[in-house]
Amino acid sequence: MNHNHIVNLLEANRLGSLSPEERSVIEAHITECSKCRQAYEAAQISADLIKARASEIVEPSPFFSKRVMAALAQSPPAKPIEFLKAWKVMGGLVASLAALVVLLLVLTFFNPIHRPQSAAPESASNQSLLEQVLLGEGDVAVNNMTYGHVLETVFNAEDSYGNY
Amino acid sequence: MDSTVNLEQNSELELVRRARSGDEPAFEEIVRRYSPRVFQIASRFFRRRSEVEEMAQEVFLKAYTQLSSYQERGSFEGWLSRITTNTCLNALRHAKRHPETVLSDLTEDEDKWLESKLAERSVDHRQSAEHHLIAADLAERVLGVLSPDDRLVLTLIDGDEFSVDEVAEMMGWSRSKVKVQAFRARRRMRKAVEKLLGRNRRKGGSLLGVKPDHEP
Repeated sequence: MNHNHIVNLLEANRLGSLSPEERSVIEAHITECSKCRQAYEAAQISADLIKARASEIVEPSPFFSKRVMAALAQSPPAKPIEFLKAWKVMGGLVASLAALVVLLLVLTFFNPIHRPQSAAPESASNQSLLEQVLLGEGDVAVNNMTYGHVLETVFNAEDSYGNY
Repeated sequence: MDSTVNLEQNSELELVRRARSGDEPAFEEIVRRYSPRVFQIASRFFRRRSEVEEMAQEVFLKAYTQLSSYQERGSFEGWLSRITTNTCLNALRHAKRHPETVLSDLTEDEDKWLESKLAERSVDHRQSAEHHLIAADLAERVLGVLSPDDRLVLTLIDGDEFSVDEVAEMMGWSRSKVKVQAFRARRRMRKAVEKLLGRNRRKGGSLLGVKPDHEP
């Protein structure tokens, strides 16, 4: 019988659950092996200590259940909100936010009024003048333009559009 | 009074269903019915009544909020036991342990108890209540060196003699994990006690006046 076998027997099982045969094997071995005897003594004392500790049980007082119910009443713990209930409460808000985000995305990427951002200041003024000339709007100076000036304005504006 | 009698006759499942639907007397009956088990497990971790009661109360408050998560597959007692072990383990893990100092100063009584335990093998005598208390104190010190998991497995299997299956259900572990944990915990406990015995021998000469054999 080797040392490891004895130690394994002591550690694999509760000491009280060892069979009489296993006990007699251990007791025969420890008469000639001090290391195993010390291990066995320590295992016995460990078992006694654990038993002593296990026998100490705090019993609930007769008022314990009342105390728990009072604690529940005092600060009722938050119950986990079920998904459906949560959706009923928060669903409208979430849907509105989602709709707003979609709207912003549409306005950002599919803007129908596409205005050039890098046009030269001169071309911008030409375009403005052209619009005034073509729409017959504008100030007195525009209204009093000669036919030649109108043509010149239109051609200049066309040149500017060519930059796009 | 009648309603109390009715509640007492209710099955475990019926009580749980009633409590889940907000029936407070049903939950109070659950607390009454299962508090001995919760206290028993909490007593494995804590000794002072105030600590055990505090833990037990926390367990039942948690159970109340989590009643909807009880799937009715295993026993309710098993489900509650698992909440208890987890709550106590967490509390113990967060508590500061000082393994080095726990065993540093044994009292004279504890030293004597250790000697008497070895003497018991040759001279059998009945343990007095005082001896028992000393043993429980010493056990608390030695168990304090171990991890909370080791401590729990040892006290449940070796102390309360719960089966491996029962402990597996309580802890939410596999059977093999329980066995391995128990194996390792016994080794660590035995080593801690061997260390104590060795120190005792060095302090007072050879324990019981018996010289240790030559070690191989």
